[in-house]
Amino acid sequence: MKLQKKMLTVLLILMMFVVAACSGNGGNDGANSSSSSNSNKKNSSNENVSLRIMWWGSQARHDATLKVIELFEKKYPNIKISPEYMGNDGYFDKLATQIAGGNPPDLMQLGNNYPDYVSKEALLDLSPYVGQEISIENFDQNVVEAGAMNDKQYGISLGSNVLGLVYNKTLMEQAGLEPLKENMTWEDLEAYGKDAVTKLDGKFAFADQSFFTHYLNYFLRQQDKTFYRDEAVAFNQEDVEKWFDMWSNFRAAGIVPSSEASASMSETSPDVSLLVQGKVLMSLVWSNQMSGFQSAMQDELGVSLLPTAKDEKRSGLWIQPSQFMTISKESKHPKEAALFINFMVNDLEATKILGNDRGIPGSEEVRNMLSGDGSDMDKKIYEYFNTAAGVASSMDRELPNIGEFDGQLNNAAMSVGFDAKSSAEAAVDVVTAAEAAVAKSK
Amino acid sequence: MNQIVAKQKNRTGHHDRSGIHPIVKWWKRNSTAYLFLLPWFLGFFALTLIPMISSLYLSFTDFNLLTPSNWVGLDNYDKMFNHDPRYLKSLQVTFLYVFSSVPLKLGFALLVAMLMNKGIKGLGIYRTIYYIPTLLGGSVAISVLWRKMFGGGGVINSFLLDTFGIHAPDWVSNPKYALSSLVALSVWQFGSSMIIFLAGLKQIPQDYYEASQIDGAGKFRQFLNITIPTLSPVVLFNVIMQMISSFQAFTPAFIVSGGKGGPLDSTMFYTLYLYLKGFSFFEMGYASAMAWVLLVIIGIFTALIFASSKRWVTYGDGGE
Amino acid sequence: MVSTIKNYRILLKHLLIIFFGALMLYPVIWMIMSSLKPSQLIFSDLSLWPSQFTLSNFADGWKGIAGRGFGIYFWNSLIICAFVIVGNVISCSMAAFAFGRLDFSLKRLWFALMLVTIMLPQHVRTIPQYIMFKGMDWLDSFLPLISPKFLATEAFFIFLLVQFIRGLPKELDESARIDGCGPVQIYLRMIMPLALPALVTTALFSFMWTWDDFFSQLLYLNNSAKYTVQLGLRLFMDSTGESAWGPMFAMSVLSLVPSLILFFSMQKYFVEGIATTGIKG
Repeated sequence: MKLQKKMLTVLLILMMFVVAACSGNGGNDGANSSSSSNSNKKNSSNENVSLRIMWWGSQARHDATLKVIELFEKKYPNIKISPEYMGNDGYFDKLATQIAGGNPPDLMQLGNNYPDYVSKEALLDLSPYVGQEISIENFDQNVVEAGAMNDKQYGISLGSNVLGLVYNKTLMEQAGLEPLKENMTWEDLEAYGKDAVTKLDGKFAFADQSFFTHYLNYFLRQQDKTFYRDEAVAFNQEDVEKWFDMWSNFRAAGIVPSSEASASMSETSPDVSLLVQGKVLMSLVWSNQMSGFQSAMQDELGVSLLPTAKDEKRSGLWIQPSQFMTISKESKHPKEAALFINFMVNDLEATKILGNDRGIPGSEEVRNMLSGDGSDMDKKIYEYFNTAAGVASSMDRELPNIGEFDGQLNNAAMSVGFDAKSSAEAAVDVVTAAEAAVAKSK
Repeated sequence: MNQIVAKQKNRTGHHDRSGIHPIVKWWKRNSTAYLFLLPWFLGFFALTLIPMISSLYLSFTDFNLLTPSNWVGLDNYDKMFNHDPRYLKSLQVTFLYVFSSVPLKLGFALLVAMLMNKGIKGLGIYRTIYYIPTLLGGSVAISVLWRKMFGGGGVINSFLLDTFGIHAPDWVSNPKYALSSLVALSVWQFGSSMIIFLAGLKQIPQDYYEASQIDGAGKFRQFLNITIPTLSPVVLFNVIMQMISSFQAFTPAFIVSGGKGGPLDSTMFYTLYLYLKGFSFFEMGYASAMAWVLLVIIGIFTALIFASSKRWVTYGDGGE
Repeated sequence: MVSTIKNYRILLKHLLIIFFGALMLYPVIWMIMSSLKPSQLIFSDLSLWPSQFTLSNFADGWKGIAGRGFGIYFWNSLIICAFVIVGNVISCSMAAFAFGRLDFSLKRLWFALMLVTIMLPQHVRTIPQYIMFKGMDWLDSFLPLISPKFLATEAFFIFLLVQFIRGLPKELDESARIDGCGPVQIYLRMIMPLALPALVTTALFSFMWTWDDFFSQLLYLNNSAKYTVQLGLRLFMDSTGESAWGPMFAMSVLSLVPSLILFFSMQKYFVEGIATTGIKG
């Protein structure tokens, strides 16, 4: 009996623990509660305001962004910013859960997937703050437009990227190969590759990137087609078939590795890159990842423009503003949030700290300041970016639900590579997938 | 079992007459057990049940995570079986995985547990070494590692080539073999099952063996007549839990394939597809429907194993 | 003659164990070696043995992000793990005792429901659960990670302990009952000590799974002062940009240490076992 009583006491304590924890706020900070007070009043500039901001990145980006927040808080002592930062693993899962749970951060870093959030009404229209809190005076027009949809401004770009053909300069010189010529056509490149593999001793000229979504879009754009235009799919089966056939030729000629050797090496980051392992000479990489690739290897890298097409209607290249800072529709303090965005993209001290980590900044003034900074690779990237910007044609809107399409393009490309489907059949799959992605967004 | 209850009734003797309220009677009979179960009841009703029921409700909607959902009836279920080849592929991949990895992993775990149980010097260190892969769990390093082990020029292939002169395929990149490399990963992380077997072996009273030795039984007879029957509740546990967790396997495919289930959907596990649908493609309603179908599948298999257990599991308490 | 054959067999046994042991160990050796390579060699130099050694990855990693060192992440993970272990051991063993040793109405129903709770994939429960914890104002605290464990939500351990408790000979309880023990005493004095190997297993797995857990920690912890080891490791990783691979590997190696120590110190409970020394009929 005595023990039974003891048992009961233990249970009661347990329950009290639960109840106490339920009723109290568990000692967490007041960021949420304080931001909800006084929400209906107009915010005078002296009122204390706290904002939450969320971004993904790695060590360098976290360090820099935290410094910028500190600077901002010094300049605006009444605004307190609580940062929530993490790697890109799980970032969008957490964000979606927070939005679905009615607890979104005020400021969110989004990628080119931001239209997915616009169509689900999660983002605030920033137009009222543009020209007021947020200055876009020094911004390139295309960079501003990239953050706008349906005549509303939803995001301000934190940096732009461009695709580049990255080559292993050391390996090229060792093999006694000539440097890449400017304005090479696809045919020139193939010829160069065929020559290269004879001198490369078992290595390959290019990585197989037939499944790389934006590479295919580059190819389509040269024919003045694209994934998505005027709210519809703007390419057809024949276009994709040509693309797959070209890669089949490369494979047959032995200038790209077999699918089996490359299926798990997507070249999307240094850990899955044959370029980094020194097994291929060239591979297509986004400009913001180039320094990551360089710092993962000893050989020196160079960057060159992508091949042109003989019958090309326009340059396939485009400047891609990536990584947008957006404000949640639920934010109680959009004005202050807008002030922070402005600080991030225009303040010279802040932008110097942030550097090119999120891509090349959209403000010309900032770009001019930064262009002399950084490592050798950073300078190479800047130089390449300027060259690319000179040739690039205007960008197209990203295909909606591109994540899902990406997986299906990957499957289609692999099924050609592994001889499971003909290029015509695979091309049909790609068009079907694109149409489904567009249909889903409506 | 009834004795406990009877004893309690005796202790509180004077209440135990006919004519008292049935609820009181019920409580008298069950109070001890229900008090022991109180934490579980609190957890079940307050924390587990509500999210489960919400997900069941969501499975009949087009919930896209961010905007309010609409009722769509059985559409999600219909789409799953009639209009989604990738779903069927994921089902197939998962069944293959479950039926190959569970027996292999448990067989290996039991074998090693028996070896590790006694009689070898340096056992502590061996045991720790064999447990290390399990400690690595879902570490980010696994993906890089697995390509190093099973990739084209990886450790396994170099070994096969140098020792036997066999040119083996790339186990990770080839859609025909990618799944088998994940089965290997699962077997390689057999440590948890091994620990449970070890704990079970340790619980067998030593005098059982002593007694049978006196009767002149050999090692193999001992294994059949003592080890297997006394260990059978633990075997049942491992079989059911491995089955459930293999049906829900997510991390290995997510990490090794970079979250894509490739190449060619050959490692597109059920829950990986469910996760992609729910979080990456914004179809949480559909994902919820998938989850409930999986629950039914797992439930059927669990029930079948339990039904069969009456034939091969013996408990120390004599129950079934 | 006989003894040499026996020796050969022992040798063979050892060789076999060592051969498989090498397969088991390879990953950790590779990880340690990678953590000692300068960043530019981790993926480009394919040999196991580094051509250059450096400890800077450990220094950079331990320094952490913006002055918040990795030590804090270790501390946070350890606190969460400690609470989870206590919670699981107490609440799951109580439930398991009821299911394994007591007789009560609706037992089969509750047992079946308990198993059903682990058959539904976690991903679809995430959002309702998040909303619940938000309603309790528990976000950005350890409570969503700890408190469910005190309420026996880990059916895995309940089932595990039930199987072990049911494996214990029933005569033991009966003799205890003759000595005048009630169910609570049987639970505390008989079953718990006898099920020690299973309880140690519960503690060990609770630690490992909590230590390795990433997604729920990511979801419920916002302030980086509360981040755990797994969150800290992911702070180095950005596959869309530039990852800090070196520090990530270095800290991954360190993150194995607590689990290893725990396993090593707890394994004597598997070796010695209680059943052999404790009670005999």
